[in-house]
Amino acid sequence: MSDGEDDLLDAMGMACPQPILKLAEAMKELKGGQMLKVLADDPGALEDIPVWCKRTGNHMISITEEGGTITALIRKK
Amino acid sequence: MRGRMKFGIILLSGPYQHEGADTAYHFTKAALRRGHEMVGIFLYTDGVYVTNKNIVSPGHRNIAQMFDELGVSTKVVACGTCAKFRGMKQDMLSKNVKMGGMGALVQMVQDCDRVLVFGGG
Repeated sequence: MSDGEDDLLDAMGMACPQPILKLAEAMKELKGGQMLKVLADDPGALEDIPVWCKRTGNHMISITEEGGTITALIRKK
Repeated sequence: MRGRMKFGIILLSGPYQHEGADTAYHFTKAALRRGHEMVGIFLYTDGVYVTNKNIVSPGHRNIAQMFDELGVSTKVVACGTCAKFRGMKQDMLSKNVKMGGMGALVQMVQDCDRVLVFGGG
């Protein structure tokens, strides 16, 4: 399961805007350069997570969707 | 006279019941014709129904196709949670419409000079 992340946020079952709020909270716990992996199944997350990264200056390493599960890897600025 | 403006639309109503969807469509076409920029169209609450690609409307305008057409040149985003609460799945959406949420809505509003809301009430 590891992609080199420092923490994992399981946002499965959460509906918008919860995944983004939980993501913001989880990122506060990380240090600059550390990575967070996010799992979500809210269909809006595929669009929202990259937007959140752009707005906050964090680095979106990857985001994929497979079988309804969205997996994102984000590096804290 | 103002110069080129950046518009965004939030659509709250579904197809055919009222004319909010038609007005949003015609506003978008007119704004583009006049040289304005359409930043995006956000389909919220019952507005997500206008992107149901299974709509069949023999002899009448097909609103799903109209919004799919807009999606070629304008970003059209359907609220994912609204869609989920209405039983609309990704594979029911028109090809040129994406699902999004609060992040996409915030970004659109921030990028616009004016946001217009159609439908609802």
